[in-house]
Amino acid sequence: MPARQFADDTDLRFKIFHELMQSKVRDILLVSTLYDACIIDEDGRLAERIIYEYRGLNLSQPPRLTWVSSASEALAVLDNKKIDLVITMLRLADTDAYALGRELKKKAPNLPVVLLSHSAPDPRCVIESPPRHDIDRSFVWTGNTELLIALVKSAEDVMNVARDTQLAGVRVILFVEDSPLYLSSLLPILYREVILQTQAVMEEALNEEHKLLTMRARPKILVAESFEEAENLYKRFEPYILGIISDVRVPRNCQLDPDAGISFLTNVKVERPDIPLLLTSSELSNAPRAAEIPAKFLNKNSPGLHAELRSFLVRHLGFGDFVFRTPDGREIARVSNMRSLEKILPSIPAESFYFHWSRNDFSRWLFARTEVILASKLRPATDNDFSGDVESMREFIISNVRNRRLRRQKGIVVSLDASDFDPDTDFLKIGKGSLGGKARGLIFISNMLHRNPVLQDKFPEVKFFFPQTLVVTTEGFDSFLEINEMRGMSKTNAPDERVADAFIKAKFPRWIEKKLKVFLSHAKYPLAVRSSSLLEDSRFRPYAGLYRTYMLPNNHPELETRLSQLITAIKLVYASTYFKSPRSFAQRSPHRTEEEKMAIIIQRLVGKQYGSHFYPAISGVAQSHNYYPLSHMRMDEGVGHVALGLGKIVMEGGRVLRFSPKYPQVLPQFATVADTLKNSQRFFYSLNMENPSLAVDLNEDSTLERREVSAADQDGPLGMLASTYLPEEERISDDAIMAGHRILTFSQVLKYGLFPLPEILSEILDMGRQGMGCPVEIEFSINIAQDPKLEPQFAFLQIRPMADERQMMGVKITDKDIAEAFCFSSHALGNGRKNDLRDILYVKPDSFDVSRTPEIVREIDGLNSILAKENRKYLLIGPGRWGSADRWLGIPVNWSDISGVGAIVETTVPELSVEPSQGTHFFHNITTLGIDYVMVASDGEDFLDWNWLASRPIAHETAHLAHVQLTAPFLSKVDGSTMRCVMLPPGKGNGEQQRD
Amino acid sequence: MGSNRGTKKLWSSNRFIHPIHGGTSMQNIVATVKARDPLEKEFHQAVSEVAESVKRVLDSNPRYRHARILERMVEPERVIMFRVPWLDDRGDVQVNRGFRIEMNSAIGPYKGGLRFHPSVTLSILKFLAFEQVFKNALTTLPMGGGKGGSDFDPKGKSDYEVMRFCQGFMSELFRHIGHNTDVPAGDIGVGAREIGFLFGMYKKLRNEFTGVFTGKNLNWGGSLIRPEATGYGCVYFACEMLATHNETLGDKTCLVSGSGNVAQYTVEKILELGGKVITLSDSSGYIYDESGIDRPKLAYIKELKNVRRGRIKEYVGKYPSAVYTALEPGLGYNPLWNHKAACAFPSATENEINERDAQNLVNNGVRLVSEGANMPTTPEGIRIFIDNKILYGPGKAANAGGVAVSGLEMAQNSMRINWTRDEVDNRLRIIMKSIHKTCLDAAAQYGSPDNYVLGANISGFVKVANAMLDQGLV
Repeated sequence: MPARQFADDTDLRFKIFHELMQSKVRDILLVSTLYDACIIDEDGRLAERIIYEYRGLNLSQPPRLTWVSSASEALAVLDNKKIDLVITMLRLADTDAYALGRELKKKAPNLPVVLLSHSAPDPRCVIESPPRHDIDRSFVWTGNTELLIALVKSAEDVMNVARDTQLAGVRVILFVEDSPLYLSSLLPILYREVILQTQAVMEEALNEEHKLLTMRARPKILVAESFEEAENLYKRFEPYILGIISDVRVPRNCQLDPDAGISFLTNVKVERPDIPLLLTSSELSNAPRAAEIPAKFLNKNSPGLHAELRSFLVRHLGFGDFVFRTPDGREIARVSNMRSLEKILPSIPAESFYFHWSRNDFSRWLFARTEVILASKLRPATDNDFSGDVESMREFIISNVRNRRLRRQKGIVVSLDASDFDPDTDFLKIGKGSLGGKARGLIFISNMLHRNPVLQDKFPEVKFFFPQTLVVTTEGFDSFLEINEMRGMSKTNAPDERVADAFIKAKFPRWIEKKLKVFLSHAKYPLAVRSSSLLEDSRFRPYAGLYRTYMLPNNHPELETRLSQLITAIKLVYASTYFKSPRSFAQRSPHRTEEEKMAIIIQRLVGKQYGSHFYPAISGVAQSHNYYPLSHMRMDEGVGHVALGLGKIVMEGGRVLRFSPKYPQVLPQFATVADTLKNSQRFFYSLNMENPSLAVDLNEDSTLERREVSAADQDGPLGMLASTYLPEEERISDDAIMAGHRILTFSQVLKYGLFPLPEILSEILDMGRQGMGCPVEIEFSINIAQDPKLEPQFAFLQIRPMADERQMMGVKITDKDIAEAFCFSSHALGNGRKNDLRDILYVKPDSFDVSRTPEIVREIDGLNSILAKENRKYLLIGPGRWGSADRWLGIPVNWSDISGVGAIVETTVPELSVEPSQGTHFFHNITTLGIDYVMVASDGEDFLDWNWLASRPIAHETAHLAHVQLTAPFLSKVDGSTMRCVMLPPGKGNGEQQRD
Repeated sequence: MGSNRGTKKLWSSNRFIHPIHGGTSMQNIVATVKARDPLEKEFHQAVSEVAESVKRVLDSNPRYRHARILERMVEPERVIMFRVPWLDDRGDVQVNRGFRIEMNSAIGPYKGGLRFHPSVTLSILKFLAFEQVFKNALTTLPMGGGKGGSDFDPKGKSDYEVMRFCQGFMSELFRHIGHNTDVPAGDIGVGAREIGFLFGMYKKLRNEFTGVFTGKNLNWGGSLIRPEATGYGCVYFACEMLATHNETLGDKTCLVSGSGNVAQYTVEKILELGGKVITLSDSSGYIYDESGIDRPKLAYIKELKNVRRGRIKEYVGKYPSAVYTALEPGLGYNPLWNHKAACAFPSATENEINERDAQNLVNNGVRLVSEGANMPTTPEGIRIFIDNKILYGPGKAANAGGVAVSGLEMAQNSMRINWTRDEVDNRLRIIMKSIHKTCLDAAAQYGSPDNYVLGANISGFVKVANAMLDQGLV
């Protein structure tokens, strides 16, 4: 089966399991005389006992019991209530069971009706009497409450078997027995074993949901009371038969046939020699006949009947442990779960391996564990498929079991079990509380990755993965505060250092510490310790970035030291809940610090070690929406930001590379050599691995190094991402082979396809948008190596909605806004609503002289300096292309001349009728700082109300410039989706002035 | 002499005709230019400046007026405007406009850059082409003047889009250029990448490998010393100026402004010739290093500026004995020019030396100013230099090194050889010497000895004018 199919099936597995056991017995109608009822309900607590039995078997939802004493009452109940199973005693107050059955079947032909009698009816009488289609099955009550469970389960199995086998390949045990007495005796045992077996499998399940779903997929038991019924059931469910248990003597052609059972089993053996068979009989003389089939034999009168039956189930139907034996039956090893099976297989002697292989024991064992898909994959394999090579067969089993084991963990959160920790699990948690905002995003990614193998299909040469993550839930935070009596911290005004100190000195919950230790004993790689608080979700994005993140080398040889470092980091993240920044923010928001709860994400850091530095080749963020589209870019095609090294430089808005995934070769910030040198990344972050004993403290950057890009020349990644600047030729060569200065252009990736980054980002942005139903922001890291044998890796780190709710609602520009505005543009870059500017610098249109642009630069520089000193941002309005290299085409400012600008308006004048620059001269600055860049065309609907501007009192004036300071900030709205902008005078704006 | 001396009116216009020399006055020439193309303000300014500076030449040489030299000079020999259709990456058709102004070829094939910028128009290119004629002539090399370009914007285009455009552009231009006809180079928006694409297409269409472009990569016909040329040339010019007073640059303390290409190589050559440099600057401020900027410090500056694109103030972090002073916009003068020195090399930007700066230089003992930048000194500042008999080398002459090396590239291509660094450097020095002599001779000839400004303005004009006269009315 190809891998894709497998992945689909694995994904489907639990989804399909939800669909299993659709029909359940929830309401039982018990019809008996008062006397019979007293016999059954010896101490008046039948319902309770049923519940007890259910609990004992860890079954959910025990059925409710309704008791009536007459047929008429029974029919009346049926009129008013949905009944799933009717259990009737033989004699009733007003009629007998058969008559009742007839009447019941008239009303509800599919309603199961079971006869419960105190003694076994004579089989001959049963056969000879009219067809008992009014009664589905007869049992003998011997006081064993487990029989009631068996009745219920049997009824459910009949209702569900057709669908469940079709849907999920659920296995079937065929039980051929006509005697109600033996049926009543053996069926409960069978059900008990199946349920216990399934519960044992459930222990291997990853979470509660999986456990419940596993139970639904347990083997079904179908009962046949005659040869014909057995044959019929066999034919219907042959592909799903796990094993057959048959009495020797069952009715055939309405006559009791002493050989019917043997005939049946013999036929089965011819057709399906692999199906385990058990012949039951109360006569020991039938044992040799069983051996001739061949089948196992069970003496129905054996004092050890239960144990023998169990032995058959365990040994031949794959229940219980997988026991490795030699061909002569000697046990050499046993395993109880798939992980142990995978680990032990390489060391099993070939002889034993082949013994089990040839008997299909592996697939049978897996079938019994509800691993239907995996078992189905293994079963058809024969010796011929591997040319008889045992090692190939072994590897086949191992790789399939491993793949299955790994895949089933994808996309789900597993509680860390200290006693049974699987280091291959992607997503673990400690505690029961919430996972917090960030962690929910991680789960979503893990799910998304798991459910969308299309990514792997499209990019088979890339390994996509989700770094191993452990979350300490908010229960940990609560526990921490509790044991340290720190609930009152929300009221603190202490400086951050004191808060941190208090947390570091505080006790740490032992129950978490124990589990962390188990985790760390396996996790010996660098870690990132991050916050995942309740308030860090899409609605409360401003909280994101307020809390601490720590990167730990985690490379000390002593486990206790590493544990101590991790615990300290966790404490400091907890402490950051009460630091000044989040407290200040909370004061301005409707949320209170005391509402905040902190979960902790401990995630494997993606990257490789180069000398004493650890970092990924590329880190980045991709966003669905590009608010600065240039050329033929569209906003909804998204944008990516990438950097060499850890993603911290991207998150803090450092100089990194911004590009459109759809047009990766359009890089306006690299238009000229000078631009490339100016705008390319110069610094990157790596994790310092040199000092394993480094103490973790308040400074979250203490383990990081900020290095010059040129310092990484000998490391691998730079050689694949950099170009070379050749000063003697004033050009840049798109390789890192020539001698010269290395410049990070990512040309090999963006232009020459070294790694399909643009295509991957386009794909995952689409996936993310569909998955979340809104524009998204995705963090990622990439490892690539020069060695073509090493597979490049793409790691998903985080996903979140791109904007908070207000921004997602969009900025609305109304007709009223336009009517009241002093500036309107139909071509603006940026997005959002701002009202933090009161100062406007504009080039006076009347005195503008294109030959004087250098002087205008000096005047702007002067006013910029004054305003920058006072920390006042301003709106800059002027003609032509701001920053143009040619003084005749625009005002040739450098960024330093306008460093305090908050927004820019580019106008046109007759002398400078030039194509708008779209801010390309300062592209990096305006995109990084989120500066709105507005172009007001001379034609069309755009306008700038010069009269209004001219009527404002002037604060400063030069020969060519005027500086206006308004009494209050004006409102600026840029609708990124339509690229329109309005600027409204103070006091205007539909009452939508932004509140602080 | 009567008004009608047989001088035929060339125009039926209401222009004043000089009673003695014939021809029209400067004002009328300028007025005609303005009237003919009223919106070409940049061109008007350039013509006005040239007219002003060469007035005495025309006054002294009636044959120039008679032959309407200036009227002919202000009119391009040829203007080629053409359509450039090309396909973008999405397969959509784009159409741009291409231009080539072949202004004057009296002393050599047309020579001048190509500019790709969305607002390139005929008027801007004409003004640039006009200035190029005199700039090239000043080098004393056989290069005429021209300029070209397109309204294509390389910003925001992929490499392949730029390539397709260049190929489309060259598919028309190739028939008008050649190593003996018109030799374009780079300019704004036309760098090494574009030159490569343009040359590749030319070579394919013409089936010949000739030096039809300058600014080529070293790998296939480019010349060494190109980045250094302007800075080196500025220093060579200064040496020639000093030599007129039997002085050398050795042990001279020098102030250099800027920290870009021109400034860096100015410093490098000064050091090589034994001088001492104590300042460098950028738009934020300047550093003063009393002990002098030596070679290791210069190497640091180069890395800081060329690779790391850092600010000059980082220099004091590396060399704490130096002092950094931030620029104060409202100060009214630049304190960089207020240090004791012998020579000043403004290499930063236009109008960086005003009248007060010039006076400060004079007061601090500076006796030589050699301009590496374009028009770094205001007219008032120039007046101070001239009045104080400072050896003042205007940018037009002193920074002609870059253009000169273009000529050297053409020469190497013609000979199918590549000169070594030293060979190119040596020839550059010879050219700067020649430029210096030409300026000096012209200044002396026209009554203002040692006035390099006058000399530079006149010598280029005279060279071209004489050649035009020799070649008849073409």
